[in-house]
Amino acid sequence: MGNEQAERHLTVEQVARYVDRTALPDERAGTVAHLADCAECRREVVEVRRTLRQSGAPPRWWKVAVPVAAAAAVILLLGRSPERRAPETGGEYRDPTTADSSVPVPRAPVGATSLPVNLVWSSVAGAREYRVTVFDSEGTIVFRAPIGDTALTLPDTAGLRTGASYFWRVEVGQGAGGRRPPTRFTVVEPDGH
Amino acid sequence: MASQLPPELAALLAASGQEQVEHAWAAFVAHHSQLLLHAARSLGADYDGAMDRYAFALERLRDQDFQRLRGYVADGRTKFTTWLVVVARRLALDHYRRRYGRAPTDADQDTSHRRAVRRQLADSVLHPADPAEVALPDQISPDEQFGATHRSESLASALARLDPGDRLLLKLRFDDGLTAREIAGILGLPTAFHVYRRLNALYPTLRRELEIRGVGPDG
Repeated sequence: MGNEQAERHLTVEQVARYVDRTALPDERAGTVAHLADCAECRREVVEVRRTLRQSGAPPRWWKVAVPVAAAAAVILLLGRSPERRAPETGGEYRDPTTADSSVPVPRAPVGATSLPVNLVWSSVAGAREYRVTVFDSEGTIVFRAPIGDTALTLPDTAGLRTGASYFWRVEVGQGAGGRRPPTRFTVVEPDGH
Repeated sequence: MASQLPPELAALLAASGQEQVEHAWAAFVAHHSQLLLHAARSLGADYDGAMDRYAFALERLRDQDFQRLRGYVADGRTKFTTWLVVVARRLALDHYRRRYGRAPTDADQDTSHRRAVRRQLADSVLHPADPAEVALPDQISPDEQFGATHRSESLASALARLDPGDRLLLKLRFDDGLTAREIAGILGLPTAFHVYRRLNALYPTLRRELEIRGVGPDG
């Protein structure tokens, strides 16, 4: 399909502006034309978008220690593994209120997870109920329910399949307020493969 | 349209004296570590490899008084976080190539796979079916390979006549194997349904091009 290994690739700025849809029309047209013939740049655009989507919440299973070379060590603790703290549906677990946000933030899962899938999100001050929606990769809703807590274990009736990717979203009440883009997760075997 | 640098970046680039620089660097890393970790992980999920790439990216970002970070231009259209992910991923890719001699998904796919995906697109054009149900084949038989050569070459010629946007759509779907939902996000289409609709609209055009070249539903 044409020259799949273009000699000159997109610049960092061109990739970033295309991903963010902030490129001016002429630049965008040139970027699209290049992407149509350059597999490497297409791959980069895809991976950059995925990275931005996945980094919306802490990596759930990572506990990272970051030594700063030739300087004081900075220890970062990420990946709180919230699934292990998430109770069964209807439990009393509740995050500390996120006073500075009116939109619940998905905490887990992000990326790979195994069944049963435990959804966890931040609470919103004053919110009595949340609506959780789970989509398959084609946009079809596979689960939707109101819940009065900030954690939920998806039931078998959601029909989640190992190897498949899903997106989920949580909104306050019936979703009349703001909402964040859906968060993606992939169901894997319990050993992570 | 000028814009200001993110505060953590501005503080870092303006810092003077070792203590101030280290403090600003620690704050910058803390602010963007998730992005940098995910960028490192995008090339492979193994924990040790990802951490190596992450550490390498941090070192390169620090090099020569943060020369790479000073390359960011706040022009109001280039978001810093997206820019940083692109830079970090390219650094991680450099590290991967140095270690393994090639990128994790280098563009030297074997020709049998390319023929397979091309044939799958040809089937979709010549034997219309629900694009959502068309699966990507893992392999085709030698007999089918021989018979598909003319069809494949004709299809390549037909594809070259398409608008770049349409050609990109087909590449994302049939060469890169992305879901319709992901393609919609990349191309800025509202939903996966719009991707399917555009694919369905393209098939007749490609079919006419193939018929002109003597390729029909029977091969």
